[in-house]
Amino acid sequence: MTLNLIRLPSGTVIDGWHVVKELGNGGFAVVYLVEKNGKPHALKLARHRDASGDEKKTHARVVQELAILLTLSHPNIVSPRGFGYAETGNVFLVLDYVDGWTLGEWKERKHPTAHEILSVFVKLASALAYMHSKGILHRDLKLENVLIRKSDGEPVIIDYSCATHGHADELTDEGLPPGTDRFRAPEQFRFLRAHLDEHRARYAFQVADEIFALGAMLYELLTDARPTQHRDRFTLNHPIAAPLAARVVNPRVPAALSDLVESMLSRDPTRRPVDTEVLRRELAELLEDPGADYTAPVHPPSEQRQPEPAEGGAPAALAPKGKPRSLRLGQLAAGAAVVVLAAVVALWNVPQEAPTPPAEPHVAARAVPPNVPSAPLKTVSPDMSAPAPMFPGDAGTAPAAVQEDVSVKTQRPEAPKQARAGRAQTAPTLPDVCKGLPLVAALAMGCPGVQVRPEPFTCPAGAQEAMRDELHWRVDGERFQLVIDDRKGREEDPWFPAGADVVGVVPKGVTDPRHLQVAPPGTRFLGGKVYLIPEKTRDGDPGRVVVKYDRVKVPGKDELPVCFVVDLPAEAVKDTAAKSRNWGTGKPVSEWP
Amino acid sequence: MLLGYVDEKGVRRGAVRPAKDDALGLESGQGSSYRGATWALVDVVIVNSAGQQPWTPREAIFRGKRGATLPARVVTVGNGEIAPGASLRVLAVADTLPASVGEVFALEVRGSGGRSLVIPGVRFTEGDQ
Repeated sequence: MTLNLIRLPSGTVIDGWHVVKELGNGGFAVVYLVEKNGKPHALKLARHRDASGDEKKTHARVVQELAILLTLSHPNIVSPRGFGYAETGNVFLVLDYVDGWTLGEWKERKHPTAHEILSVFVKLASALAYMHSKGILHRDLKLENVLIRKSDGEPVIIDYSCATHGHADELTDEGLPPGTDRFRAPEQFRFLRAHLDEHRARYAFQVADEIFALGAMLYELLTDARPTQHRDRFTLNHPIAAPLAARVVNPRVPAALSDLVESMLSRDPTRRPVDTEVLRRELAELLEDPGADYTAPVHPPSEQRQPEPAEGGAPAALAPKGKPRSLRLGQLAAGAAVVVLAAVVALWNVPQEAPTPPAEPHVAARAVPPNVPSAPLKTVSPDMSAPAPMFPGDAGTAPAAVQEDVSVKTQRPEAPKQARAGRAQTAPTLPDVCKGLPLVAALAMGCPGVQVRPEPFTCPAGAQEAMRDELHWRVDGERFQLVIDDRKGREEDPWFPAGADVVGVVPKGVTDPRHLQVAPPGTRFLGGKVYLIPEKTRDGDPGRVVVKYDRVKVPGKDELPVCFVVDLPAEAVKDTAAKSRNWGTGKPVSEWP
Repeated sequence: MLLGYVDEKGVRRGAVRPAKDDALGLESGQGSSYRGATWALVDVVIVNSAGQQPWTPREAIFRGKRGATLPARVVTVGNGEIAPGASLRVLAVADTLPASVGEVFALEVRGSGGRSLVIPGVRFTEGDQ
């Protein structure tokens, strides 16, 4: 049993710290504004005690954050002021209270010049160089995790809950460390795809990742007049396509600065500045530039008028906007990060204020409004028609097909046979560049009319045979339980972006003898692809999520081709993503629907 | 055929949507419904959330939107108890059918400890989803 912390009302006293109000509430901890002797501080309380029920290791994370912060002393890094245990036994950490704006808010309120932005980033690079020299990585650098203090304008890096040092225990069991997808370097996604089947594979986070994240932050400040606004943006970490140069999106960006950002965002980590000290020097050199283009606001204030409050229902809605904010949690966005679409499936919308819309083929992908039949949607890739390739080189859309060296000139793979005449193969207006790309890449490339809906398909004979003869499954005749996306918890209700790659897994707790025999716990459904049917169902759901897996790895057996489909009602649909349960049953099929 | 369980209309299948009761810690996955000449059956997997007491489904009842109710037996494998965090395949079998079966039912699966799970939107006549 876990002890879920109840929200503490103001007036509560934790070990002598008087709670004034809650500042943030994330997956691992809750942060409160507290006072002692009349001085404000931020108190970060772990969600759980150090007990076996602490699956997210919230206790260990807070302790590790404390340990890391105690080794750091830098004017641009938040300072720890104490720690202890609440009466409930939950560990807490007390930090300097930074009364300030997040970098994004600062950008919108202060209309900074390139010079002022550079001045902030020189300090950030200096703080990072200091940390890195001690072997510490922040691992969740983003606009929300840098505050500009109101009193003196100094930037302060906060939220070290994802941070690690050379000797730290890795608190994430597998895959990528916690963080925010938008600011992840592209090599992290390449790693994930390359190790989809290796349960324990763990990405080794590096300084180059940190430089990419800082580059992404700088890019956002330079190209986006309203970085705090929640909307679809160009993905910055597509495995092949780099974002447009900052100067192309915003001509006010000085050329040399644009070039430096471009190198920070390089697809190839070895082409980024080699370390943060080098980066600091390069930024400092630009800071010396007396050019007039450095002394004008990078966006005219008129473009930065405070936007209307975000419309309700936006999946990425975070904390209230437009208010000066103090220390807050990176994990606030835990759920939202899912929706800030994983790099490879992010939709590329040209920023509204881009003065020079890029030429094709980088046209904006139009998001599908909820509940609107997707008539304009066209098939880019007939995924549902055939299983994804089991070997590189096959035509198809498996994650493995998205390789770094995929040429955008590649011809479209030959269309596998269709079960029924459908809407498939009717994409005459697609630019060639889009036709050759797997769905995922096409989405990220901003190809128009990308496939969201599943196509009818007939399961290839080889997969039917494998299901029948090797796996002894009753095709079209039985269901198996699974956690749909093994990166998320069984109890979660995540957002599933259309086109996302997922791996399903049969959870523990299955008792059905037949299920245990032919698809026991630990059975992994591979090559899963998410589709969306954004039409209201007769039961009133706003749509359906369909996931098709094309391979299976039953413990003790070889990986085999299958056609396994999960079809779930969606709780909510937003653009090209749907919220649904992460647990359900699916079935081996000979055809679909 | 001779016993009257199946007639020339055969067996019709429908879809059963997932259901969840957070308060009671019970959840069912997508399942199937079947209807023969004189019987109706729903086949679902039910999970008893971790942290709950063990749960044993004991009986079920189909409630039609228009008022019809069908008492049903529960058929499971083993002793039928679902440990916390575990799942069980549960069949709810109604041995009689009212005249009008083309309606939408809510299936209530009742079990130990006064806990029950209501699975709405059960149909016996239409295709999947």
